[in-house]
Amino acid sequence: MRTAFALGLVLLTGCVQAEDAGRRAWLQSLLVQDNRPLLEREPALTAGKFRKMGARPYDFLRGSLAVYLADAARPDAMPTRFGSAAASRVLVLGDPHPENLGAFRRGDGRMSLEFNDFDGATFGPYHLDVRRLAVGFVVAGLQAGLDDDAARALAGAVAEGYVLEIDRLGRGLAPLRVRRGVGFGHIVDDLLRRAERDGDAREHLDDYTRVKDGQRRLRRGEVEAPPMPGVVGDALEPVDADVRRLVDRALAAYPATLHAKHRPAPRALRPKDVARRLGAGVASYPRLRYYVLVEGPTPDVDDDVLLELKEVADPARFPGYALPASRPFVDNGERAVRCQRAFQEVADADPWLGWATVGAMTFRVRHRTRYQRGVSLDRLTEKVAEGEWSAEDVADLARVAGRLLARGHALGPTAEGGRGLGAVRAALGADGDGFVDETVGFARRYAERVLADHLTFAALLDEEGPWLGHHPLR
Amino acid sequence: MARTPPAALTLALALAAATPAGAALDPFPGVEPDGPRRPLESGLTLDAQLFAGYHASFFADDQTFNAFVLDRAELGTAWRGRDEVGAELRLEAVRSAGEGSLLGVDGDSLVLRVKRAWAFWGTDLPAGLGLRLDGGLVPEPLITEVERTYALRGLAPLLAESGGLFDTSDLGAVLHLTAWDQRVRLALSATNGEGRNEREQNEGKTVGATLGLTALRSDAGLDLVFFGVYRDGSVGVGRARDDRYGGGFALRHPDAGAGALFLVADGYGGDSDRAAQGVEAWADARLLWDALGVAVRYERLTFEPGDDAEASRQRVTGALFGDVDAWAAGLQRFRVYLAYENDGADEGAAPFPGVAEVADAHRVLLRVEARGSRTF
Repeated sequence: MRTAFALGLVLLTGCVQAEDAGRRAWLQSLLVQDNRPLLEREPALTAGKFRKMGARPYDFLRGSLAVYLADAARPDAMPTRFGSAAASRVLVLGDPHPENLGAFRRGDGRMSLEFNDFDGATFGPYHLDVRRLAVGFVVAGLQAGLDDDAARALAGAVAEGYVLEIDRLGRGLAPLRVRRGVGFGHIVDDLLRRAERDGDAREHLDDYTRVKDGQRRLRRGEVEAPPMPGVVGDALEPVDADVRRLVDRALAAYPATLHAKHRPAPRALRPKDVARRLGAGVASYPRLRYYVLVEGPTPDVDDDVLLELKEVADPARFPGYALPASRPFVDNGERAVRCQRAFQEVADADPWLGWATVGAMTFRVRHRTRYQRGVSLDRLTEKVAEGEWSAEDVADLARVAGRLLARGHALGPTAEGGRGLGAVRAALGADGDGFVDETVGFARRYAERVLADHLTFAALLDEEGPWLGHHPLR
Repeated sequence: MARTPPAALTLALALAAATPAGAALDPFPGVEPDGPRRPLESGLTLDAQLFAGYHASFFADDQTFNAFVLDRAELGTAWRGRDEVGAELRLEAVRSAGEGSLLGVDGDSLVLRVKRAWAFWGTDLPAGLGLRLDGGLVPEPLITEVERTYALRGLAPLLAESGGLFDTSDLGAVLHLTAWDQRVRLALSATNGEGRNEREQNEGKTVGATLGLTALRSDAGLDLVFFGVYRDGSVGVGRARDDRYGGGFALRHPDAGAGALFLVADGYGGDSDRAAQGVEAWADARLLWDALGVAVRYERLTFEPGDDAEASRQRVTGALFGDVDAWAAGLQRFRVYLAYENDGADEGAAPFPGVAEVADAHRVLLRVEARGSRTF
């Protein structure tokens, strides 16, 4: 597969070379600046994040949102013909990419596909979300072993799906609902099937907890082996008394932020065990994540609930852009959760979703369950290699992703409070095909940029060390 | 403080200009021609500056926003000894969260930070030459030089400062050389290059030279000043090029002034390959004694000049101002501006190339500029 991927890179770019000295210095400075607080607070984990980003272009893309947004503001960034001031204030995901899609088991028990990472959600221009998703699919497609043309076609599928859903909503049709077995493609069906199966089996609890003497406790230590030296695969680490107090305070604040239909009895949130989880994510790999095992509906260990408290920081900013009222949310936990509820099909796609603020720390709280299994590039790569999934199957996923993004933009609020549909629809006008062509052109060109930047980044890691030349204060 | 008729003020300034002075450059030039002058004599001076007001903004798509704003709140203390030594510590209020950030101190509270913290030693040399050495978190020489003749700081900062071309202060040292009764001023600086917001990120130091030349100083108080600047800089961990050069001029009379500044950035925004050009021009005049004046400003920042992807942002400002010192006894300046601003951008300009209207704004400002100081 590595050979096929390398071949894809060469086909796409002709001859991708590490970038010039100017771009190299800019990348180095920007990525250090973007990660400065983490480099100071978690130098070892941030070095691990950089190692992950250096391993493959898709992970570089995931960890370099700030680079994308800075590039998007450059005069040579391929100006859009489909923007407007109003369409620059819609609810955006900020960082849509294929691995930010996942299954959810809603409060009513139905399974659906949704975007699942709202760390970067904010108000901004819709077209940068569409372009980012399209680029993500092109890079993922290449990495999954698709040929050049097939990978490029994924950008078109994203944009076509986007235009289709905006058009449908504009005509008053029902918003998209992604279910299993109703024509959304093999990959969506496979994901929802496995999520439901493994969620029913409470596989996540089995992976991260053990029952001993009638008491369920979190495991400690390695859950998954490191994928490469210096990077944690999946592990739970003990926490000290200070962290335990922090988590207790967070849990005390959290119930009021739950969806009104899903507020459990106080005893259900009694914490039984706490551990720090390491290894998840790319961009957020060094951030604080705590797994908290809580009592659940009854004292029975079989209905214990595993919650994740994930630190949420500021979203990456659009350089040079500021909303007049620059603080539409009180804190980042509230921002991420309110954006998620507004973006998804229903506000209780995760009934345990909420947030907690303790001093300067804000956390998004969510249910950890296999019901929320995400799209995996590794599985995509494996299935494509085995011939079980075709390029058209991946395009089906890209099309659905484009439609989900459109639905979120259209039905989510704008910075002024109305819905985004009117602004996006007006910006697209009657030239949906033109928007698709523009998006494809951008995605092809920027995917090449990502591949070249990845090579530059890998060279920087070799030459400048694990912190890219930054020297942590401690 | 009693209102001073222009003629009397002119005479006073002319007399001041004729008064023999030390050759070493005044470390506290009292930004702006008629602004506060911190300790001219030995002693300890406390001063404060406050620019505050109300903005009503009108954006594309019929969006509006209005707010009371605090553009500047500074407290400074400066000490000057008898042997040409001294120091300044200056604090400024800033919002604790960055633009668009939700991470701040108790929301987005105003907090105080150090703007400048520096000390100097100066001496007179033979042949009318002067020398002064500054060290610490020192003021940017170009900003200081231009603001000697720029009377509109309360209305807007120089594009040189607000456009990311120069920072207000930086850690390092500056050597000032003066000649011809301070009409020739040369500042040689060596600083980190990261500005006051960052500690040093790389091994390279930023060195620069700023020249101020008062070519004409008439008995009527009219000065004609030329500026020139060159900087060889680096910024960020990647040591990106951050060079600057340019020049300008200003005409300054107590009742009127005008000036223009042109700056080129070779390396911009932490990117060696980016270029930018800044052009700004301004004029102000008192129309009715001290009570009423008019001011206009224009600034244009062009990115990637000369490329196909060239893009510009510009701002035009027109203002009426009134100096109402009589109502604020003890202040060195109490000025009220009523201004109109128009922001615009090319199609290719940030933040979203192709969506120029995002940068369009009309703004009406009512702003108060208050400055005062006291020496002990």
